[in-house]
Amino acid sequence: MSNTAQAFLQNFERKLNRSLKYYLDICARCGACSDACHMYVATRDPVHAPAYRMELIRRLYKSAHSPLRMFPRLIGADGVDEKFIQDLSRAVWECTGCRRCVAHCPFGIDVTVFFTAAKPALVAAGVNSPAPEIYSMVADAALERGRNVELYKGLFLEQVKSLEDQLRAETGDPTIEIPVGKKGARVLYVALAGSHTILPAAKIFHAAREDWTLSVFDAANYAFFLADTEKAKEIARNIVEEAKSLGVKVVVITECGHAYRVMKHLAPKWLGEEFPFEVKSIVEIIDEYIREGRIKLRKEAIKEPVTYHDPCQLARNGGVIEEPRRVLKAAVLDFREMTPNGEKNWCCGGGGGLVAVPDFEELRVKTGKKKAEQVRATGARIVATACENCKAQLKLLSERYNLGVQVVGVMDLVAEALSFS
Amino acid sequence: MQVFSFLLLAVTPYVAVAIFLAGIAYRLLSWLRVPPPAVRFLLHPAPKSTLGSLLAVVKQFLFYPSLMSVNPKLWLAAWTGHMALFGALIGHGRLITEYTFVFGPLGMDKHAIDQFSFMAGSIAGLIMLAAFTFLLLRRFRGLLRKLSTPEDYFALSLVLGLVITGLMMRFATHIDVEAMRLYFWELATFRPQHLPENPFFMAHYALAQLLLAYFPFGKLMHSIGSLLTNSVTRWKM
Repeated sequence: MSNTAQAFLQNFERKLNRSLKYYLDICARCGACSDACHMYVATRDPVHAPAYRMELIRRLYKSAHSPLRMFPRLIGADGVDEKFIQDLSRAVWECTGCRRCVAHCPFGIDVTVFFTAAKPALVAAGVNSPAPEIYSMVADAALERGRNVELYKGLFLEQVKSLEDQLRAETGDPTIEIPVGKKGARVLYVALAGSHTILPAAKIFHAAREDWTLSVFDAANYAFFLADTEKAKEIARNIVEEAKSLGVKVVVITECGHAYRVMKHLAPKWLGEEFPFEVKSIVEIIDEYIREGRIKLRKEAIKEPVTYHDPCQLARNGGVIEEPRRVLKAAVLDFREMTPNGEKNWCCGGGGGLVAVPDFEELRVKTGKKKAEQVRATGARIVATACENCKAQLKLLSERYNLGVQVVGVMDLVAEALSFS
Repeated sequence: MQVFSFLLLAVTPYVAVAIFLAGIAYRLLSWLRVPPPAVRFLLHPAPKSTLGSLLAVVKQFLFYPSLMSVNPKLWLAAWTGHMALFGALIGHGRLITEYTFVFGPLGMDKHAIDQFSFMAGSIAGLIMLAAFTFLLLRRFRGLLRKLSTPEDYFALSLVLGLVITGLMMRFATHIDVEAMRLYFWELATFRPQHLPENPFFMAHYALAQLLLAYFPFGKLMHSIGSLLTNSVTRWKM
């Protein structure tokens, strides 16, 4: 075994947990997962087949631990060379973590648990890939902002002020505002870099007469894609502490799949505490406003056929499935489902942070084939979704597969359909 | 030959069962020794109650719905093959009991039980033969060939060997159930005397012992393990 492989293995073993041990021992290699993977279906490259991705790690593990390790061929652990490590690296980083394979595995084996352990091990072993470099940069920028928040705040407040002016000009409503750092507000809204995540939300909050305030932090948590739990914790903690100090009741995450999943399902476990606030997606809170009659929508505003793409991190991995559908049915005239959808939806190909990696663009186009076919089959002119990364990927797919669709956020359509009367 | 059959019928069964039991215990302990993950990643929509979680896991265990939705052909082979296997295992209970508590109330006499058992067992055997042959053959091409390890071929061949020798016990020879029950009773009470030296039985029995001894150390542990892995992703938080 090469030194790199050994270094990888040592680091991987440190992250070994009971679920991983089960998976290492019982995967029957039936290969059903490969038919469920948008990447394998498009590339037919074994490195993209979930069971094989995992098998590469398993073979390495077995070659060190199996009682039959003296006979590597017998346990399928032969041929651990540099090419093997490169395949392993691709297997790990070229996965969108959509977990469609998990939902289709008769044992529920979760390959992303492997990658959570394997990613830091690959980084520690010095195996290069374009993905972790970019994720590190984005994550470090978020950490930097958290550590020097006062430094960034001035500029941020200026930007928000100009957005507020823009909003007032656009709506003709001088009372509309974008509060920042408002103590005692009910809702803390966590957006992303870019006005497009703030403006429609501000309109909706205003229409619902919500008592809200904007977070000074960015919802994205690229340390999660890096599987660097320490960094991911710190990024999440910034928002948690802000929410606590403002005393808000609800933290609302913008249309960003992984940010929602991290804050809702993972951060409480990472930080080992029960938050004194609820975590909701912007789509969930819009659904509440509609059902409580706090906002009224004019369906006629959007006549073109609309379909909804379930972001994997929000639907299968987050549990927000019905809400966006109810919202869209209330906001548009012609809503069409993709098949399959909800927890069985195909990944767009941009998840796991892959959308941020320019080197992966051609891979993403190729592996977005299933999604492109799904969108085309609906005949929709507008694809709505609730995830920044999905949006970017869907735009790329529309362009490269000539789908001619407009890609928007659910909240964009809601803001457009808002009736202020 | 006599030494060989004595070993196979009166010595190795104890060894195989001992390895099986110790192996299962070792495997379960080796799982328990590793700390559970800090965060359990669920699949949604996730069950909210304990009963719901139990139903979700048992549903996966009994019907393989996640497999059905992705590969119906594979599901058909896997599901029918495994169900026939369960059935055959229950049928092997006749080595201990005549199941009169089941068949008696149905008004079936000894002869009727024999007939039913022959028919049900034969059907189960033929289903297993077809299903596991399919599962083995698909491993010889494409992705499955690259994915498969020698163990995959070994485990399936072993099961197929058991199925074929089992079918031969039905169709190529006569097996006296009463004599078998006597042998297994004596074996269980550590005083084996009446050794059934039917060659088809001996072949089947040898493979069965090999399977027992191998079972805890390989992928066949998915039988128990799938309940645990499905609980990781499908049990409420």
